[in-house]
Amino acid sequence: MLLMVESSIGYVDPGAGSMIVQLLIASCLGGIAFCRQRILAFFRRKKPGNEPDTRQNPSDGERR
Amino acid sequence: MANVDSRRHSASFRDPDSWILQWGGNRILRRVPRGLLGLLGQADVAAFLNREITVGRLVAGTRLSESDRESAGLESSDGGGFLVHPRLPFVTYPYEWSATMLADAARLTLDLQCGLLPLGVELKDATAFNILFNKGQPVFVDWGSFRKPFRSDGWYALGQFHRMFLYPVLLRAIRGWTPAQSFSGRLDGVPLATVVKELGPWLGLLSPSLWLDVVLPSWLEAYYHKKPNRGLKLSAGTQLSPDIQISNLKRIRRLVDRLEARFLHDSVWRDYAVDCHYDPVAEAAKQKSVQEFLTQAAPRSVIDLGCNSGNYSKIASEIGAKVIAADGDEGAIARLYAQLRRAPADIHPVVVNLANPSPSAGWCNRECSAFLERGVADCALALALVHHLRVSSNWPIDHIVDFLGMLGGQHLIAEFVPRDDPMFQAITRLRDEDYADWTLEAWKTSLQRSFMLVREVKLPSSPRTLGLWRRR
Repeated sequence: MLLMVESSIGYVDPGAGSMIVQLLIASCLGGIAFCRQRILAFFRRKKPGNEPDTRQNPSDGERR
Repeated sequence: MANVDSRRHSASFRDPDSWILQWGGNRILRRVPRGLLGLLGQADVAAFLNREITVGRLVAGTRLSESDRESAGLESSDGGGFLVHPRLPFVTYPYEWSATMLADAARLTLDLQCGLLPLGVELKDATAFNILFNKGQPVFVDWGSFRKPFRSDGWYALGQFHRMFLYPVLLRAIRGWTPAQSFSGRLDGVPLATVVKELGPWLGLLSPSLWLDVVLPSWLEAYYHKKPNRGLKLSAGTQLSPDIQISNLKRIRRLVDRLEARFLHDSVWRDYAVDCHYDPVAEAAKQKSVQEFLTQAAPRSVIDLGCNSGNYSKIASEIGAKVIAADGDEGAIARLYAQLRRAPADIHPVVVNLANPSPSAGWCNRECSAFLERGVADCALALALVHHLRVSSNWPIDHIVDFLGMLGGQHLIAEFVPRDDPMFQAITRLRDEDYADWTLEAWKTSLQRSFMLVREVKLPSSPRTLGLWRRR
């Protein structure tokens, strides 16, 4: 089911379910961080006195 | 030069890149791949590992010097090398641990993984057999498990960690399964399907803390099993930050703590009162006599058979012996282990049913050695034990003596519990046998086939007799 890239990577059964859950957690949390960043940027833009073309900071939710 | 493969220990085969060589004396020799040697060369990795060695959580490991390598006639293909480790005093396997020991081993594994990830290293596997115990704490011994992470966002070995550590601890909390039961018949831990079956349909759904580690994985596995042609290719990916994985592992660590709290109370403290049924005068005299006997015998190692809370193991340890403390009750070993964590000593707790000690196991039954091969010592302590072997296990006197002779080396300290003792009467209350053969004379006659009586003490306020015997 899981195809291995290198020979000695895969002698342990990773448990498909456990591995996928971790990837889901990573993508969910990454997605939440991205959405939160977008929402905060939206509200920053709406605040009176802000420049209308405020530069968005690059998302660093996953790369801290 | 001898081909290194010919020296490979036949039981060290799971990892194609790292294995143990035939060893002798006080050191273990491990062949490791070149990639690992590169990782060990990084200053931050070496510093981290040295800290773990200093606090006793990781076995020491040094590179085999060139001169030693040549004189041993070892040559490794493709740039691999050799590490030297000290041999630990006593090997135990996960099915011989208390659940509290397993939980400690789980936390050590997680702590190592979380500490290594920011340094660009991970654990290749998460088997409970990577851990031994020494001086009251778990010790990680498999240096061959260190490697560059396969992926940073998920731990490849988490499924194995679940089976080896989390599910057995969970089953101890909800079903009272000891590790011996969880590992019964298999060395790779509890499969997900077993946990799901034991939880039942409702307990899993009603416990949010188990959704990520039991419920969701089981749904996903069931889904993928229904689609046999749907392959899932996992490619290596290490460019992401490992913070999410570390948060997940810390969450699992807290889950292990919470599960352990559920059984810690009953296994460690509730049954403690059972110990204290002995007459205090007799008990004090027995402790004094055992101490004198041990001082006279001066063994380097002692095996305390039926150690219970370890009072006599501690006495043996205080005279300077290495002590193997064996008992069939997982709760008693958990109590002893809890004390050792607070006050480390050269005592090695092990859960083993003396009437059915751990057999050799694994590949061709040669991978894990039997308890009777490991549990040998200069002196055996058989205190408050032999009447249980006679009554509960139905062993004839000669069988009991032969068994004790197998475990102890030069000396044996045995307490004879006769028929008029209250404990003997308590265990024979419902039995329809008079145990006429169970007399002090018959006991001593049987022992004299292979042992010589050195000293004998009749305990005060008690019908019991304590004897120090030396092998002929």
